[in-house]
Amino acid sequence: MRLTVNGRARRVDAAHHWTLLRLLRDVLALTGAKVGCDRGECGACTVAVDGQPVYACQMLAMQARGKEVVTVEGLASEEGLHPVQRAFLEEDAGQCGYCTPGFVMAAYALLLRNPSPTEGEIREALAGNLCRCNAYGRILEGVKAATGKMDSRPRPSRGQALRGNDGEGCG
Amino acid sequence: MNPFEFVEPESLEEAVSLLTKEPGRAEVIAGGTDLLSELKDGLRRPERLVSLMGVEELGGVRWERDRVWLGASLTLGSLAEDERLSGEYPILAQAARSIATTQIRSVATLGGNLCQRPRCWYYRHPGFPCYKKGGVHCYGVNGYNRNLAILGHGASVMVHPSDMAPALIAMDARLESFGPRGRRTMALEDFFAGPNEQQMQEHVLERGEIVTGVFVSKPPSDARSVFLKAQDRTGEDFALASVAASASVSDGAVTRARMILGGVAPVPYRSQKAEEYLVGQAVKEVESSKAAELALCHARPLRHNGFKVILTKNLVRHAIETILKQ
Ligand SMILES: Cc1cc2nc3c(=O)[nH]c(=O)nc-3n(C[C@H](O)[C@H](O)[C@H](O)COP(=O)(O)OP(=O)(O)OC[C@H]3O[C@@H](n4cnc5c(N)ncnc54)[C@H](O)[C@@H]3O)c2cc1C
Ligand code: FES
Ligand code: FES
Repeated sequence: MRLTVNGRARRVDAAHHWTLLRLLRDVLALTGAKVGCDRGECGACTVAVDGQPVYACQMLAMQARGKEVVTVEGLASEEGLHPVQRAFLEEDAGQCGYCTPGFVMAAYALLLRNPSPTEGEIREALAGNLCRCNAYGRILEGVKAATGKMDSRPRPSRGQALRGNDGEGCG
Repeated sequence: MNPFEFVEPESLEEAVSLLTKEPGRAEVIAGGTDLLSELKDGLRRPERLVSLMGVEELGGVRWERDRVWLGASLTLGSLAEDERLSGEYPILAQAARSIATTQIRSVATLGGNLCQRPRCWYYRHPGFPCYKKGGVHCYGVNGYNRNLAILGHGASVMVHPSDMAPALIAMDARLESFGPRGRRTMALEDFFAGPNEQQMQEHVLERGEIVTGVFVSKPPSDARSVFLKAQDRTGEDFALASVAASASVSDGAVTRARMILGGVAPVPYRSQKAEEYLVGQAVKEVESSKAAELALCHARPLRHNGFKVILTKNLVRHAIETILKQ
């Protein structure tokens, strides 16, 4: 199947019953999206598909055929970290960090749709991500710090290769 | 997950023929947000998944003169964010917005929401061969039944988990489907089937029949409506109870009322007693607590869910007060 991952067109062999999360982690070696509940409840596996935040554990790889997938590895560019990543670092928006890629991707997808969300909109958009360390307060500050900063940085689009930690050894 | 073949036909006819070719071996997949959990837990082991996402005609919103058609593949996210829909049918956007999380709503479809399977923990647990999985026993009857039915239970005390269903029924929506015998429409209310009518599904679709969309008539200009939902935690919990209420008022009196309860019975529960009480009443004389008592007059709570009766009454009261003030 073909899909675009972090700006790069890929051709991969995927079994029909694999989830998108399995494809990303086990074949493309993009381990930023984490395995948490594996049931669409915790958000650790959040990635963007065609700009929409989705749980990669609750979607088949085949359902992402022909689509544009962005994982946390695709956010940073040669110019450095993505504004959402930078804001999370500056605001110390995490503790153990397990949930962080998921939160970053949920925040990224929110800011794509709505560059200046209200606090209520941020809370609603992040309600699908759980943090076992209870760092919610800091995470909220991180997203607030990133609001209004995304315009300068368009999301990776087809053909625009971003150098991320893109895995090897696949189609 | 057991291996299966994933096919994505481009036409409805093809989808139906793929589903009927080897009956029992193929299942429909729309967004997959519910189905994948069942597959991961081995509750179903289809050999083929027939995806509807390649069938273009199932997507989108179509505005007609006196009604709107919502495609089965419309995502709950698009439904919640569609400005015209939110303006003309606020109850639908309220219900859609209350469902699950942003990530689920990006993918979950309207058709999948109406056809989703029970969320009862005994049903979802691979270790319980419960009635809804073809067994003889509903473990909810004597087990831990805090979240289960207070009304209308039969062979199973499951509750129907859909939030879109009550909201749509309150708007007198009609369901459109396509199957081996062609296209048909029915009142959405008649689409749902309780455990005594259907053991292994919660609707009346035939093998190979697919939900294609939902029609909702334009509400009269004097109509008002609201969707309310009680959850343990807002965010991603299913409804402990929900209420979808709509009414028309003219010359200070209620002329039409719908009171649909979700999360309390195996099918979306229409409380006709409450509706009958409301119709013909002068708005000023409506006693919302009386309507709430009537709405729940058939309630038979189980060992752990008596609180749901009180909770639902309060929602009904609140819903009536809200719409009569609109
Ligand atoms: C964490 C979480 C929280 C949730 N909270 C809520 C909630 O609060 N309220 C609520 O209402 N729902 C809730 N849901 C359920 C969610 O709304 C459903 O999973 C979703 O709507 C299903 O849509 P789908 O397109 O993903 O369906 P799928 O998972 O693809 O399909 C669901 C079922 O319907 C069948 N099906 C799908 N489409 C059709 C069709 N067109 N014709 C015939 N059969 C079809 C499939 O065979 C399958 O059995 C929650 C889900 C999760 C994971
Ligand atoms: S791992 Fe996907 S939501 Fe928890
Ligand atoms: S920082 Fe540890 S789970 Fe969120």
